[in-house]
Amino acid sequence: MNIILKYILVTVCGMSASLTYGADAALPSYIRTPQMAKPPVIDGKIQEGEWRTASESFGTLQLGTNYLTGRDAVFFIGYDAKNLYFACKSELPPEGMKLLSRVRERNGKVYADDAVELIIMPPHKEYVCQFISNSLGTFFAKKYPVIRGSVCTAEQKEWEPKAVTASTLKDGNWEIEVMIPLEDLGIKELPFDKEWRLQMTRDWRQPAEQTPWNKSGNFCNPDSMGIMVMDKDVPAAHFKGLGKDYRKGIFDIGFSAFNSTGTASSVECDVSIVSDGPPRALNTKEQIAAGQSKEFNLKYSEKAAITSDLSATIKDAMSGKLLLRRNLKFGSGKVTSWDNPAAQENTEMEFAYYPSYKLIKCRVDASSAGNEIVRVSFHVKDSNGKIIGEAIAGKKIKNDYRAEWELPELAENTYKAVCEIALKNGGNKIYEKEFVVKHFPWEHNQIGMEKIIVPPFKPLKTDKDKREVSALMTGYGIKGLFWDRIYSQGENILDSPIRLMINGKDSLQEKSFEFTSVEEHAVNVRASVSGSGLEIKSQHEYDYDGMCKVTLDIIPDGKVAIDNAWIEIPLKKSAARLMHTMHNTMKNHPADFIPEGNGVVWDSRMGYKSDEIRGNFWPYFWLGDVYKGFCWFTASDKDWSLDYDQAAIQIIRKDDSVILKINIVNKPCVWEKPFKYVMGFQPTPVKPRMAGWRHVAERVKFKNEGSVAMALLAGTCVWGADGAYDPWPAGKDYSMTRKLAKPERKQSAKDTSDVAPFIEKHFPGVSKTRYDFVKRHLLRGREWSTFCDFLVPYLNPTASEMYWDEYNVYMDEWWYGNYRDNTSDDYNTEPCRSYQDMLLYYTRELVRNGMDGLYYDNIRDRTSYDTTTGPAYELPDGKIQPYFTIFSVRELLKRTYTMLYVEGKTLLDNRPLLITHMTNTNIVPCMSFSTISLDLEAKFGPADFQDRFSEGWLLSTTIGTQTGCAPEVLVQVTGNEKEFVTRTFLAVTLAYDLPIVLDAGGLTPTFKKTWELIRDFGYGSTEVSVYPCWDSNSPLKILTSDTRGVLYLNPQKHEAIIVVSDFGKGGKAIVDISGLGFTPKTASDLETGKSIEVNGVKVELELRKHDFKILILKESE
Amino acid sequence: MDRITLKSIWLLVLFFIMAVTECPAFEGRNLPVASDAITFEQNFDKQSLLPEMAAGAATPLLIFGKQNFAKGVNGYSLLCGKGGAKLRYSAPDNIDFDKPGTVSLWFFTDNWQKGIGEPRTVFFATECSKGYIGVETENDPKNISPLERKIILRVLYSAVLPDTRLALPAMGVKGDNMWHLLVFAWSGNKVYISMDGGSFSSKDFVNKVSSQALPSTNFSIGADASQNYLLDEVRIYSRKLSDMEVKAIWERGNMEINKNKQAEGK
Repeated sequence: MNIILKYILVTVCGMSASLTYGADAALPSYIRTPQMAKPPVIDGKIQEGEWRTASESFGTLQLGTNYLTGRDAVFFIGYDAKNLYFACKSELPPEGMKLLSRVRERNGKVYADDAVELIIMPPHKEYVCQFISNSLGTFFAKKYPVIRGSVCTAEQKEWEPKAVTASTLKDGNWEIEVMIPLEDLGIKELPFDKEWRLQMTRDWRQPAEQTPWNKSGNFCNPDSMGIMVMDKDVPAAHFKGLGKDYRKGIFDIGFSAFNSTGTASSVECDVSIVSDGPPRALNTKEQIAAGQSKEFNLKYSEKAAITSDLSATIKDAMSGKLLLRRNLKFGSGKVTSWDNPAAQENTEMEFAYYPSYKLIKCRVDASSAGNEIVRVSFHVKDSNGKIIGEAIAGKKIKNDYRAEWELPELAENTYKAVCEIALKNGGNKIYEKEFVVKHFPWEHNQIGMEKIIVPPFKPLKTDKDKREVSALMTGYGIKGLFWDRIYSQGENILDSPIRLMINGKDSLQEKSFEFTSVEEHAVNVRASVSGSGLEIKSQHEYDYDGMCKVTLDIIPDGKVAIDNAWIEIPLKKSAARLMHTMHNTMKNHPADFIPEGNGVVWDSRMGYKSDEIRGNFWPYFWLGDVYKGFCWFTASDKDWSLDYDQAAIQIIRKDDSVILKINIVNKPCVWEKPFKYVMGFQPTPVKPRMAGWRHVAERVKFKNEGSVAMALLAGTCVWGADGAYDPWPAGKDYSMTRKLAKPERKQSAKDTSDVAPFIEKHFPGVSKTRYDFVKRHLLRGREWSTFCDFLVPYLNPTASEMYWDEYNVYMDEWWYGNYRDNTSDDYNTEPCRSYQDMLLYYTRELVRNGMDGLYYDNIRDRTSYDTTTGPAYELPDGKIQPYFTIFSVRELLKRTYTMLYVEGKTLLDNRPLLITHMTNTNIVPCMSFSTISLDLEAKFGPADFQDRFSEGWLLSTTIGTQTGCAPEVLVQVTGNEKEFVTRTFLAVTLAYDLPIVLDAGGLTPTFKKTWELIRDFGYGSTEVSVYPCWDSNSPLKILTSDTRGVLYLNPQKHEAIIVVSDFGKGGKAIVDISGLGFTPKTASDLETGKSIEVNGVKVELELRKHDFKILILKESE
Repeated sequence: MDRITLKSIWLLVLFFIMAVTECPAFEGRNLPVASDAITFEQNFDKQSLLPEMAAGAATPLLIFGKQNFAKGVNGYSLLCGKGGAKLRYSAPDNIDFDKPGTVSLWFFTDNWQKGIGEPRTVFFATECSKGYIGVETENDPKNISPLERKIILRVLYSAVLPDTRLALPAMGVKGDNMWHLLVFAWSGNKVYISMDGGSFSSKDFVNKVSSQALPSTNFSIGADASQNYLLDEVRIYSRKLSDMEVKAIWERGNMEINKNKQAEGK
């Protein structure tokens, strides 16, 4: 039994010792130090000689080992009769980094800063005191009772030492001096020859490393501390360090001793260095006179990366007392050095996954790893860790490593895109990003892609001899790369041919020309020209709405110097009174009269544009008049050569023409490799406005015959959706939508008992507010359905939502960023092919389940930075020049228009019921496939309408004559003069014949009342002709410049209504009615009934500023 | 074996256990994620308006409203909103838009279902008319509670950056009466926002985020005129945290929250 007991005891003790000291046991650090005759000044400056009577000890150790750290520190400790003194000098971080000194409250997380620690157990062994200070002088102080020779730091006691600290940061070092009164350590008398347990620590940050003086794994445990003894009769011993160049292998291991005893003393210094290299030793005994110092140095050179064991003792030779003992290792092996946390920026991987393209691209910014990189590779793995395909080497481009590669068809699963960076030191960094693959029923469908011609369009006509292609109201006569005839309602509106000028000349000769395919819905033409070292092949793709997509393949023969190149579109002056151009900021685009004057009257440096686009490239221009015009558009200025200080695009008035000059090269360049330009062109008017469009009203059923009431179902809850932009009803349950179908309307308006169960099923647990909101909207739809002939659900094709399953798979393909941004919003989804597939699939379901048409919000161009989905490109500074999404928006609208027609969702003259909101972005090639266009959602507020929108805006975009859309306007009136502002709204919209109004709030009953008067007269019927103020054929003549008039003429009844509106400052308005075709016998104010004098063929009125008057004139009483 | 011998063995074993388990090197030093990068930390644990850490000035420049403290994620938190406080601190060295950075904070939604009609709730902002950045709940629509409005990172008034709204989905009613982690960051010409430990959502600008773009000399945390909430563990970092670090903050915070709940018998 005793043997067993002994065995147990030995084992336990041995394990304790090994755990305390680690597997590599060494004797604890030791200092025996004399009393300081003169205390140091606590000013944070460790002065020469100030601490020579204290003990000095170089070196801090990696935790739990004897291994020297990669950052240098030296400690000083001494005392006098009253105080303990402690100092530390440690290296500062390199330039660009700061010492972390953030904690300012006593007993806060001082250890989270760069700090020094003093942990000390006085000889009384009652407690261990812990003192931690940062460079601000904030300190943490606790004491821990010693129980059975050890401590439990959970059992801490308050300790409020009257400590004083000071720090300086200078000469590459942080110097801190601390004074702690001995009485705060429980010392009343100096305990000479008694053991203190001592630990001195430098808490480094950046990175975090707690490095003690004495090897320790368990702090605060007295047995893991070093030893200090106070002794008045011995010299002070100093271990100064390994020499300033020791990291270069040049060692100058320094010790010294200072004799403060008052009598001569003798000191033995024994140092040994044991390594794989030659052993080094210093064994010396020196006499030191009183008040003198002696140095002991071991110098050698060792460049090999070997580990060395240093053992050092200094003894007082006379008494044999140990003055200093130090054991540590240094040399090879990994040491921690400064690591700038800011350098950890940009080490994340970016990626984007394109399901339709079966493509993935990845990028990692490895600039922080700098020259340490051996190799970067990317791969994709599935949820089981299996690599899909092969790893792809990353290509270094500027500061990035990038790869883009094809993937096979992926099964539904969660995958990871992985980047592996192999480093020179043998390590590697791995970054992973997760993505989801899921398949949907709508993928790759052909909805809306039928090769049919949707009314009112007619089949294209082609005259191969004349090289002419004609659409419904427009046409082209082809010459060279472009045209020498552009027809608008039969009139050639070109003053001269459209040309590509290169180096100031149009010198390329036609080499070939061919109609490659001629079909009713599409005609293709190929041509080529050559000369001056260039061959240019053009492909014209004519669509049945009259849009022509032109692709120019530029093929240089070697290097061809290009000083300048431009496309010149010279319209007749008579055909170009108005302009409209667009950038990517809605509501700020120039839409107005072309400025007066000759020469350059406008250029693309004018006008508001956001700084998302470098330079002054604009992607779309339309020039024209009310019933004629021509537009040009493109997605990107890729492969243009532009001087950003010069205008990319100009409007020039010269003699009888107005020229749109598109400068594709205004900065000299060299063409040496083939490239393409893709552009679109379209003459206007594209189609006539819908027959009977004046009958349409928004959520109002007028009494007059033929009135068509249409209701935009906004918000989406009206037709049962949950999210504001979901293209499907909640739970994809179409029951509420079906209740709005024509056959169901009467009954579903009466019986709404199905509404509550629907909400309970698909909106479980929502707040009462939300519940009431949904219910209110569902019932609103039922209410509108009782008097509205057409119900049109709101949709936003520029929106996506993070909670859509679809978006989680397709977000990189749809979102406008170049890599995954993991976000969505209302405006920045590109309706690319896959998005179109999704949207068409669900919108077709909507119309099959009762809806009469569709409303698309936000029909505008937008920019996309994705270099994979479109012609965005990287600029020399690494920024991306985005592309405009015009082509995909057009495709979306064309497919929707076609789908609605195929599904029989038409309005009036058999054209599809598609309403598009385009405020200030009336893109002809997109609005070509719209039936009603919504404008003027801007400048809401209390201002008069004449001050909100220029007449040029109204003419160039709102009235819809160029695109053949019935115009609808959105209005909101606020302020405390709503009645008058409503009148100004009427003054403008009557004059410009804008009867379809979506009231967003504020219009007074005067609005409806006025329209009732006009509709009762027969507005919209075939008996009444309408001549808005802009109609040059109007029989009504306005003789005062700031007055506008609209005429409603019933030539059969010899009656007319004239609305006279003021657009100036008010005053007299004079109207010439000689062209009416009858002589009115009576004229009266239709609002007041008051009689109005007719002075021969003139009528004179007094108008308030921005007000209007309605006159009714009749031939008979 | 006699009792004394057994007792000796037991004491030795106990000593051994204590030697192994007591006072590990960093015991009690539960430092936050990315602690080296923290330039400002206000955790209210000492029920003080002085931050735990501040690389710049620590004393609040201005205190709006009333100071009230309540239980937080870990320790105490500050009551914000109509019954609470907003604190404004000096920006220099505490927050630096010329370098990448991150702000993280925890907030507790105090019966927000009843907050119909309340305006936006701001958690953190640099309130400067020449460049504002802030994280807040949407102001509209007011006919729903703030729980059902999106959480946004907003940039306004900057001469360099466009007015921007980077939105996260609304918390929904399920997010009421619980702690949430909100993190926003900036690096180069991008801003980021994350909620409840999720991956960052981001937005690119043409121009860099910088002190020129956001020139405020101070920043504010909390609010004194909106929906009530508790604010805790506000930290500013001198670099952009990674998605993994954000997740770690979220997980650590939830461990504390769950620990507190268990301690309260919930």
